[in-house]
Amino acid sequence: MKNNQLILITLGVLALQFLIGPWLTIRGVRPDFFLILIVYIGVSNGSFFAVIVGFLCGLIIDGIGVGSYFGLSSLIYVLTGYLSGFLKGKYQRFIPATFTIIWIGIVLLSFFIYSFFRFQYLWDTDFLQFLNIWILTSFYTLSLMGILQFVRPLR
Amino acid sequence: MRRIYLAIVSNRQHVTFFLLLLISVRLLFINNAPNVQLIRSKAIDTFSFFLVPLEYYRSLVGLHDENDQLRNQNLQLKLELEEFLNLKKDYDHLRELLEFRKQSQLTLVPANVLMKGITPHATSMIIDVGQKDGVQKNMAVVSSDGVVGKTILCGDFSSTVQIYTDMNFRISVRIQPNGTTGILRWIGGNEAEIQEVRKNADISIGDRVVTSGFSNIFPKYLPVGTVTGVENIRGRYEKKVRVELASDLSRIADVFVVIKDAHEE
Repeated sequence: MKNNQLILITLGVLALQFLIGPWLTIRGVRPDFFLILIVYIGVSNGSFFAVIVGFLCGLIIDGIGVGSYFGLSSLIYVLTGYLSGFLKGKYQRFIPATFTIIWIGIVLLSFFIYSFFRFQYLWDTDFLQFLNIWILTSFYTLSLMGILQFVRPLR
Repeated sequence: MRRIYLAIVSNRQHVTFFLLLLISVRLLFINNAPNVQLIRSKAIDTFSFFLVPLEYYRSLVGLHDENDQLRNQNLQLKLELEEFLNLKKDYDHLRELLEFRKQSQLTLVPANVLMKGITPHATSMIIDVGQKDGVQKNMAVVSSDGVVGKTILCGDFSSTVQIYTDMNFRISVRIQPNGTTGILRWIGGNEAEIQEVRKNADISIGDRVVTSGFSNIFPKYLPVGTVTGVENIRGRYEKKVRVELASDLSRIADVFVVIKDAHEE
């Protein structure tokens, strides 16, 4: 992806998150289009771009859309971008299943950190409920990523 | 020097990562710093500038459906006209509520919800009133059903509301008619939990939960929800009370900001 393309796609995802996100909300959970974007950027452009885009996207989200923990989205997206950047050009080296498991792992890790911060008390008081929230939130975004693989596979 | 420069350039992805990670962590620690609050309030003002026309368009689109619904409702009301006499009891009750509203003398500023956050879990919403309308930080936000949250950031024309689904949102409540107090926090869906409730308190399912008035933010007796379950914790001197929250955030479109409570003056 070229820089202009990157900016356009990021703006598109921003619009998608604002306009479509609320419509796709199920029981208070909505998909994270930014996370998907950052994984894609990381895999196709490498860590450097993914980290920068992730940080900026996180700032936008936190600047206008969170009640508390300003900076959490930036932290998560920066980490996601950095980790997914290691997958750049590795599709040919790994078998597809390993490659897929790694990016699924990165998404799960991102949502784990998110859930850990947001639902700290559940970690202590009701671990099953914590797992439920973590898996449900991750699964929703992963499902969309799964559908996206038919249109534009990660590689 | 040149070596350091080359090392940075060749490891730019690692350097950028650590740098931005540090900045993110730093931001997490300075959430309430005035500068950060100022930047965020300006950001929501700018952002709401784009959202207002969008919200206007949405409301226009919704008008057609709303009109159909109203026509349907009107027809039903005509058919049910005869039953109105039997509703006198309800009318009296509503009148009592109106009297209560007058007595409480809350100054309410109506607001439209422009956006309900964009993170995977909604923790805030942006409303279209700000400092120009008299709204300030830490003011209660309610719907016609009950408590929704409190303002945490105020721009000139818009504000960010921390809603009850944010894990850091707590509210001091009173369970009626018993009068027992406790601290309420959201646990998922439309449910919340009240902690620090006396173990010997006589609480029944169906009891009403209202604000206690202990905080400076929420005036007392604002409806919060209804008790759905009571759990005694073994080995502790408190019980947990489950509450179904009165305000359904998934349907909420209009709210009120409580500007002042005459009782406090």
